[in-house]
Amino acid sequence: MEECRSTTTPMNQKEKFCNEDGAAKIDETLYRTLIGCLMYLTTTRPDIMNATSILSRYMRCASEIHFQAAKRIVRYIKGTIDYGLKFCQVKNSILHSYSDSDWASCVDDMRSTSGYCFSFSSTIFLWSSKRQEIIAQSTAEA
Amino acid sequence: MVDLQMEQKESTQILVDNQAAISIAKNHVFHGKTKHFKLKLYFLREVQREGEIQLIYCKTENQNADILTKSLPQAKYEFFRQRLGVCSFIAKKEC
Repeated sequence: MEECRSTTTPMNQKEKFCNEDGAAKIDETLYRTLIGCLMYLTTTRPDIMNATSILSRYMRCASEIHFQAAKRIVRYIKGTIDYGLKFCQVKNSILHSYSDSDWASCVDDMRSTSGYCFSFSSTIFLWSSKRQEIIAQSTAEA
Repeated sequence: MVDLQMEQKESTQILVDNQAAISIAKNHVFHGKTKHFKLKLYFLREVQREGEIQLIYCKTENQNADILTKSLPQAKYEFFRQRLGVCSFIAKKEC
């Protein structure tokens, strides 16, 4: 992986994953180790949070397609290895929070993903991206 | 916030890009279609009444949380990434 080409985004925009995609199964230990390492990285890199959170849903049924996507995140990190959260000093700092969710993105059970982030002045300090526990019946509910 | 020795005078603003969600959360009108998520709605209305939070509409273009919920095209992705405060340490040393 050291000489791979880097990508500009961690995940293909149109790609959808599902539990049983028919592709060959891979060694689950390897996949779980990789996802675990990426999870560790999300504490300083909120930009890969969503991609990692999506891929971690397929830990128990990892296939070649999921592994390819996980490797794409690694390639993205290779291109942005020197990035990190930067906290600058500002005079007027206000606490802002953003909240968003998509609708029925998970193909297997039609659950939505919600995400929020809290920012203080220009940099965020708290963020999350998570699959919802209930099945939302309208976009306003999601 | 108290630990940081900064008192919060105004309510925390939560920016949401769904206008329907905001109006349902604000108005005490009976919506037959919202029966199924009543419980959480009442909690939301309560904290709003007490002034702890404030729901504000924000355009999808400015919705920072977009990057946390879906995969985006490259230009949008880089814009939001920069707005989150993730930047290269080599290029922007002078900040």
